[in-house]
Amino acid sequence: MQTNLLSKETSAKSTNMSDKINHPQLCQWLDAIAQSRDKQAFTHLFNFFAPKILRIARGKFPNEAQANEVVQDTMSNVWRKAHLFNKDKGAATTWVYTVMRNVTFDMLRKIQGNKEDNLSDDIWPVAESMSCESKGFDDHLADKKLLSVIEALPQAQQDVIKGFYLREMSQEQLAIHLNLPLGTVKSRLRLALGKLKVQLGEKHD
Amino acid sequence: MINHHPKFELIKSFVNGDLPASLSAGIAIHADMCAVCQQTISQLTEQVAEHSFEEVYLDRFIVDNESLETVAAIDFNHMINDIVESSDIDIALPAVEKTVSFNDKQYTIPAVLSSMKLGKSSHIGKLTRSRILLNENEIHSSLLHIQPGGGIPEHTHKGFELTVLLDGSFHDESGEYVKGDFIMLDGSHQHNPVSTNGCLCFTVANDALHFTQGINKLLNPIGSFIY
Amino acid sequence: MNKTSVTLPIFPLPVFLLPDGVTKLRIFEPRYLKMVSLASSGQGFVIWLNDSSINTDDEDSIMQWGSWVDIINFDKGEDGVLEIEVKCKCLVSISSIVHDKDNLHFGDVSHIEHWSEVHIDKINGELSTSLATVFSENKGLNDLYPKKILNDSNWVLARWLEILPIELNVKNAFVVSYSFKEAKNFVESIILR
Repeated sequence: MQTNLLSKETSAKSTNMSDKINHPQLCQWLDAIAQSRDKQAFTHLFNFFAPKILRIARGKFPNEAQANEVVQDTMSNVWRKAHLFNKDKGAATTWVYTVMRNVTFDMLRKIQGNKEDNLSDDIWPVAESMSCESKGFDDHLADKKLLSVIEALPQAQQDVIKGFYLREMSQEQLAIHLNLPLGTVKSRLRLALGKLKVQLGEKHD
Repeated sequence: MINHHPKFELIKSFVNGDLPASLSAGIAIHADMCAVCQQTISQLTEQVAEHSFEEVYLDRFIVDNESLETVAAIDFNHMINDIVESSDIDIALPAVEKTVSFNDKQYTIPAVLSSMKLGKSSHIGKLTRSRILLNENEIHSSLLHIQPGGGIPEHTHKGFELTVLLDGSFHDESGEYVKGDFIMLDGSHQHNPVSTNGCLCFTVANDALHFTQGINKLLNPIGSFIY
Repeated sequence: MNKTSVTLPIFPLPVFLLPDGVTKLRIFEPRYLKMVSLASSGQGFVIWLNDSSINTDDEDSIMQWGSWVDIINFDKGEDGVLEIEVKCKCLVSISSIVHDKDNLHFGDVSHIEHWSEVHIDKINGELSTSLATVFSENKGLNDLYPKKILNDSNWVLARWLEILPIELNVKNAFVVSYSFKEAKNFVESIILR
């Protein structure tokens, strides 16, 4: 969906703008949260971002409780969504900024319009991979051999299958089940798939 | 080819999160179809993010340094413990494609609009409109469908009128518009768009239209109907 | 594959189901309601594994196959939609598809052999216990299998392949390309330490 082609040039420029921000360190903390729910790493990340978020929020919300809420919600989203961060797609600061901006946007909408519809994640997706992971569902019969005789699944039918009866675990569920960090499970899956391909190659030779 | 893009100022407000949901959605829809604006947005976001978390920039927000630090000192440890207590993780759900039909034709709704509620559709002539229920007071958002040969009577705008072409094409006095085009008009514009082959648009307007042709004055309610 | 072929209704779905696998489906389209009524008085229907990620460019290695299922239970959901439970009895290859006036499709199918339809009374310790835990933690899944054949290593392996979070084109390959051995190595390398 979003390609986020951050040119080298921009990255370099922003690095010059602030050599105070230790980007690799931030990435590492986010990664540690994603991989092993590392509370220490989260505390570090919190100490870096929270005071800054609070100050920005105080600029947007005169009400102290609301500003605190922005900090609480943003950091709590960071804790729960860290695995959605992809360091190849952009800096940790960009990702946390997106999370913070989205929380702020939804809160302002709630205060102004009394609407709790949380639209921000649709406007500015926090997880770039969402569309990739679901790509199997797009455009079902696109280049099927039997396309000529069987038309695509009706949308409603697809939704039902996706929503309820695709009896498949998510990678997250598998990680919890195996009591392993998500990253380990992902690399196990990758390795296993790689081995399979080698085996198939051997058979064909 | 997409020829009409949001102005840089508008993209900046979008990145800052300062625009209403309707206009933000309009820009997100356009950016989904326009690689150029998408790149502008991601570069700008990176810069703004970097700025936001720099100490220097943040000094601007300090209202009362001491009280802020006191509040922070009390709350923060509490907050951390609160947050890490939860073992929940947010699982990214696969995007569910939603469709909408106008005159027996099915259109895929842009992902950005997928959680927004659509009102009942109303018809007048070759126009069909579904309001998008965003509850933004004087700002109205809609999906507007024009059947082949249909058009909107000549009008000007008191406020602004945004049209993002989701499918098909239309033309007015200044030329042809195609899928993905982001057309922002204000009170100084006057136009009479016609769609030869039909089209579907996402529209946002902050005021009733003001019709300029005599006979259309009688039809003025059409203004609040369309936008 | 020299067995006689049967003509059965076809239901295209992105669902990977091996013999003895059970799944629940919601049926509301008229043509598929018709399919259910035909299937329950006849010989069942075929779920055709259907997904664009399955590569069909390679004409030689591609096989159109489906899961031949029987309806084993049905109910009306809270919203009044018909819910059926189906159980796969074997895998079939699909050929010459036609459709009737209601746009329901029928195909000539013939049985294809797959390791997952063979029952082997052989315990595979850790895969079985791990699967048992998955069942006990997922009520929806657990309810589908009142009788779990956890001492059958083929059954256990087949259920793992169904529920693992891997793409459908990979799952597809466990029918068209890979044997039991590869399937077993694959699942074990993910589940076991």
